[in-house]
Amino acid sequence: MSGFLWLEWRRVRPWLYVLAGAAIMLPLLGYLWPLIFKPGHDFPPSRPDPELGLSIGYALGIATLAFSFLLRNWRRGKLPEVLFLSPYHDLAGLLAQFSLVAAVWTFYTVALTTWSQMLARLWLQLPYNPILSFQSGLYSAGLVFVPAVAWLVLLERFAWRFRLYRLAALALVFFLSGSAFAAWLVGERVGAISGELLSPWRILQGRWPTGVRVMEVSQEPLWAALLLALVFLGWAWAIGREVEL
Amino acid sequence: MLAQLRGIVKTYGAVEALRGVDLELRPGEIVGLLGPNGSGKTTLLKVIAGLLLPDRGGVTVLGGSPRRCRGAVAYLPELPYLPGWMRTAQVETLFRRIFPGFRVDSFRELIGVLRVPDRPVRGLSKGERGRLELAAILALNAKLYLLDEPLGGLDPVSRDRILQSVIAAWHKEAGFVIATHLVAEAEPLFDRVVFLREGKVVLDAPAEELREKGKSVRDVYLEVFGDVGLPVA
Repeated sequence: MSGFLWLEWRRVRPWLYVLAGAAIMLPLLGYLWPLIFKPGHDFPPSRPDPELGLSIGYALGIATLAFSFLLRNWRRGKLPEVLFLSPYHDLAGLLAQFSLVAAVWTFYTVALTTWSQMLARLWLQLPYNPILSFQSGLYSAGLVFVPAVAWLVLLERFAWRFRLYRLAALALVFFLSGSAFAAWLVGERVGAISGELLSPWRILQGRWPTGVRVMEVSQEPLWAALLLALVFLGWAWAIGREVEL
Repeated sequence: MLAQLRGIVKTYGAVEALRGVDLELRPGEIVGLLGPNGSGKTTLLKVIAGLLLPDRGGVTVLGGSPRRCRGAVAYLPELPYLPGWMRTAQVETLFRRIFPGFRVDSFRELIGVLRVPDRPVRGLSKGERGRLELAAILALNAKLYLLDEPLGGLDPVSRDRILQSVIAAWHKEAGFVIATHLVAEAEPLFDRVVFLREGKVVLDAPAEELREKGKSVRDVYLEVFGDVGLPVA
């Protein structure tokens, strides 16, 4: 597993540097913000968009194409053929690919939440604010990014299996419509799941135009999204075993 | 028996790359897989390795499906496979972590014998790169080594070192299949030769049998493929 993680890190680290750099810079900007703008300046928080699912669908479609090109570049090299013969290739390769990107996205969203706290003048109060940051970041990452990354990993395997890089038009249509469907599934249906089996979490939520406020959310949608991510990964694993190189 | 192929058919769209190939690979044998460009050598190696699935026919490696025998098969692709940023020491680390039983001592020995400097791959000459890639494959703890054009595009010194390293890596439990155009250079290695033409095996014979008839493998190759008009080293 460590070998695949290392290789994956070397493959995607230019992208990860940008994300990690942004995640570090954002809290810093949060500190600087009151110095740049006058005290009392209202920060407009991000407004929940009723068309969020569709927006994510478009974003996933674009990301899918980007992944296809990345995949094409990756496949131009012959290393995948050599690694395919490793007995650990199936699962370790898949998990390395998924966990690295998902971990960075989670780190990124936790940092983003910290930034939002600062903008909302919720200055550090131990231990309340760090827990709030962690829960908010983990909630949004778990609900949106983790299933999205799992879906992209699935799409990559799909592209590999059906040789999407050779412009197989039908596979491309399935691919993109699948992205929109996955976004809808995660953004609308999974997000709508509520329950009272588990204790609620406190997270930060943007509310236009009143600003950022703390609210309680049920844990169930988070776990449903993570379960969906597992389903996507399992599917990707099954496809990956039948990939032709 | 290391591998057994029965009636293998593989097509790419309208092109029939393999048309009913039967083949058996036994331990301790070095098999030369010979044929002109487009005869199906690479496809056949990939089918044995489990990288490609045949359309028809059956493949067993060590008595099971090739995809269940990963780790028992080592495959050297025809084209370079190591990324340009990787150094020799990193190749060792990667292979040690990913392939159980990777023989670090053998790898280091081969690197020494093959005289590969510890530089990023992009800074190596074509010969050094080819030798490094072969050393990593030969150091795998496999039963079946499939080498696709290991001598292609290399100078005579590099070719000789590579052939020596294959001899050094040979042991009686392992089998080697070497696909190459450079028949004359690789000929002394072969225990058996398999000629592939337009996806079909046209000759499968022990190399010694050919030599006893007073012919070299190269002579037979020219007889079989002379009409194809492709260069033979």
